[in-house]
Amino acid sequence: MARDLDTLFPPACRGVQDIVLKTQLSLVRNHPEHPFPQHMTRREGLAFAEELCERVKSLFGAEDVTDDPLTSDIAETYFGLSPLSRRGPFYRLLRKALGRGSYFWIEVGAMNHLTFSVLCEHDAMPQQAEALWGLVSLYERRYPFAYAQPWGYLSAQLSFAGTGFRIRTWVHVPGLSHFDQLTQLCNAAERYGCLVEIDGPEDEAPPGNLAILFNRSTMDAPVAEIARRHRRFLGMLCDAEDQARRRLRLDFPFVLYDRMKRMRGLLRDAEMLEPDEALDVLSAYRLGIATGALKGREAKAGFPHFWFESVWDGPMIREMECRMTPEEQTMLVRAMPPGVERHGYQHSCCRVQWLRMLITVRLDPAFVREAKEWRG
Amino acid sequence: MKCELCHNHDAQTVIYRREADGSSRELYVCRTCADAERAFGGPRGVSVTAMEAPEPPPGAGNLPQQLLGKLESLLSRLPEGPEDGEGRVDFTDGGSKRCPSCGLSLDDLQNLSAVGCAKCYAFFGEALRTIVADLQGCRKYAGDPPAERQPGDGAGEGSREARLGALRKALKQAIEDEDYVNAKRFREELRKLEDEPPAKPPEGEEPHGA
Ligand SMILES: [Zn+2]
Ligand SMILES: [Zn+2]
Repeated sequence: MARDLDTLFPPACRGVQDIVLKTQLSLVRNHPEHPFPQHMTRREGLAFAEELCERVKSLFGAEDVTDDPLTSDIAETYFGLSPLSRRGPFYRLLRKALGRGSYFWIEVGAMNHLTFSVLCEHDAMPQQAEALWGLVSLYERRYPFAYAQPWGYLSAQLSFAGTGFRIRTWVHVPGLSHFDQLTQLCNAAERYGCLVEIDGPEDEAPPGNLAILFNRSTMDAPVAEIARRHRRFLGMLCDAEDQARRRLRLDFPFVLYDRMKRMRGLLRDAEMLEPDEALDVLSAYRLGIATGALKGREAKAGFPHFWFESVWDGPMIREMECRMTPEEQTMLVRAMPPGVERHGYQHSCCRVQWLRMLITVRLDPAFVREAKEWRG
Repeated sequence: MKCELCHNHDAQTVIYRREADGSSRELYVCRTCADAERAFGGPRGVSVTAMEAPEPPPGAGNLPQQLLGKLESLLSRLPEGPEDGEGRVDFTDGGSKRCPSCGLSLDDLQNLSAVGCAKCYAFFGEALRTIVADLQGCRKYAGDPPAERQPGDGAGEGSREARLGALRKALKQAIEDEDYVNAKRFREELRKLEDEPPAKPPEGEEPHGA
């Protein structure tokens, strides 16, 4: 498994700041003469998908990676592509390398005939949205898409009718989450034309304090303008999150100290961790680094454990295979009691081993002093 | 009626304030107070849901549910007779009329939360418009126009004259609809096309697919 890690971790995946994890831009498109994928017969779908793949290959020089298990395993997690559950029987995944480990992705036969997407640099959202539009226009010049007024581009989901454009940003918001401000975040987002997707019950902190911010309307403006609005609100969100973190660090050091100790306790003593628990551990870890409560060389961006994506089964196993020697892997498996594998707990056990290295970071002594002398 | 919060301005909108005990209180307020209540970082422990028309209640992360709700309410208040306009369906028989192209009914749409084909848009016309307006808070496309067809490629190329005609028609319609964003765009396109020598290969204009 000696694959270059840069193909797993494109630079665009690594947010420029700790709050923004990644931003994905996508455009969905359909052709007028065929029903949308969910309404195609298997035969029609297979033939049409084949045709679309050929077009995409010849126009963009894209390669078909549908049958590459490594890529298709991690594509959903790292690149925000269609979840496996949404991939129909004639789903195809193609990509074109854009340099520096980033890709132009083309999905055939997900919810729509075509889904084009890229991960986006934080500072270049409007420009990259326009660039994506331009790329897709190259295709459109030869093969017209389903388009009609007053809708714009027609899509299988009504929430995509219009430009078919979606901009999604994955954010890490432990500060807002701690101060129960996620509902306000949702309300404020709506005022700026954004929606927030949060896992789990409304009144609970989502796993890993993660949320996804995306545009509500895809119809009311050109894509660059939608991206500009999105970035504007994202800026406000980052400010609010930053303030909440400062408040937690300065006004509630003992509370933060408790979070850090719990996180370290889990890393030290847990034998198994589910993905959601691992996300929470990582969230606390990253919060500790960002607020200066934790110190250590692993705090550097690029250290793989630092990234939320690496706790999901597929990517984690790939990561471990990439990072560990075969001897280390054998040792890891031997350390587990035989029942683990028999009952399907091996990923939960691996996850602990994978994250345990994080325990080498230390609590900052000055922070500990402050926490212990907290007067509130 | 005066705003229930500032008691100063006229009430213009309704907000739903969730109280600490979980109950929900309806307040008629002015826009300034509504904005203040909804603003980010408002008083902690109070969540405010803005309900002013035409915006729907926040459906963050729950779009399919929201869509289903809209469809249900739509089906319960079906118009009396056929919609005007070509290809529109009358909904007097509920959601069972089917798109002639893909066979989808509004009931199916409700179950799948997805449209069947491009023709569904023209066929279900107003019904879909209502849902889209609720989902997206917008009724008209204001994005960039489709890319111009490359010479000699693809089907459906019209003559320059046909394109001019289509653009003029679209412009007229946009002005009638008070859709100034698109009107501006059509006018610019029209001007560009009129300035070009007639030998220029034509662009695709007819709405494809609906
Ligand atoms: Zn008021
Ligand atoms: Zn149809």
